[in-house]
Amino acid sequence: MNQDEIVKNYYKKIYKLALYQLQDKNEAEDLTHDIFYKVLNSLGSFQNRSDLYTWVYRIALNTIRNYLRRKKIVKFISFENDPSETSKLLIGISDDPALKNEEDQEKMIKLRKLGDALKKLSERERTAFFFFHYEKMKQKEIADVMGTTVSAIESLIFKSMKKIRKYVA
Amino acid sequence: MDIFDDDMKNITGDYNALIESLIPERIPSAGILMEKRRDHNNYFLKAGRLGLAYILLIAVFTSFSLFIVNSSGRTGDPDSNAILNAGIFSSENPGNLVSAFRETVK
Repeated sequence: MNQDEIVKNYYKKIYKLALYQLQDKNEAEDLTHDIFYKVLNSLGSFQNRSDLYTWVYRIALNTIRNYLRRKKIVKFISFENDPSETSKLLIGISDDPALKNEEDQEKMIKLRKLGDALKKLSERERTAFFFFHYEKMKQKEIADVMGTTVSAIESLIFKSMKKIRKYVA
Repeated sequence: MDIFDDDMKNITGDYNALIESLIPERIPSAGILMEKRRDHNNYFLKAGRLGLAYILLIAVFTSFSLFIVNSSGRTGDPDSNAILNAGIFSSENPGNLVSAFRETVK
């Protein structure tokens, strides 16, 4: 598979993962570019020991993890305080005049709660939940990508769903 | 494994739709991605080097200033000692610069 095919096959998936993890469009785009720079630069060292998608996802997860860690430190040093931790994805949408009926507004409140709940999960719980629910991956595949066991993945998915249900309800 | 009821499934499905609606339709080519990132990295590299050079310059200047202040008291140079003895560096006698210069001129 050449470089353009890799970008074509994985760009949207990686962008979605970054968007889901960071909940910020600009940061997600920047990080997706960063991930592909790493993937394309180290393509020569890929030895077909695992599937290509596993390899790409692992690079993506490591990059996102490092980014979140750095962000946490910067936030701590700069005394930045965001008590609401509200998902930036929903800002502006909830004020849309088109959402006039009660049902839409209720749905928006629940979406906001879900966004906030996802931010409260640990990075590993969020990742496992994403692959299971949104990418419809099997537990074995998730375990390969996250470098852990199937039982650990089952536990992470169960914990994350329990927490989300508690926050959103 | 799936402990979500229908309502929760609907909400997670809506959230997924929201995320997917934000993904850009156009996918950049590998060449553009590499070029963009290289420029970005070069920019940070240059900014980093400039910052480092600036810090080094300040460090050298500070060390040099401290060396001058320190050595003026140790060399036995009467002019420098006069300033120190007059007490301009003393917290007990601040602002005694005029008398310090008078001592030096003598």
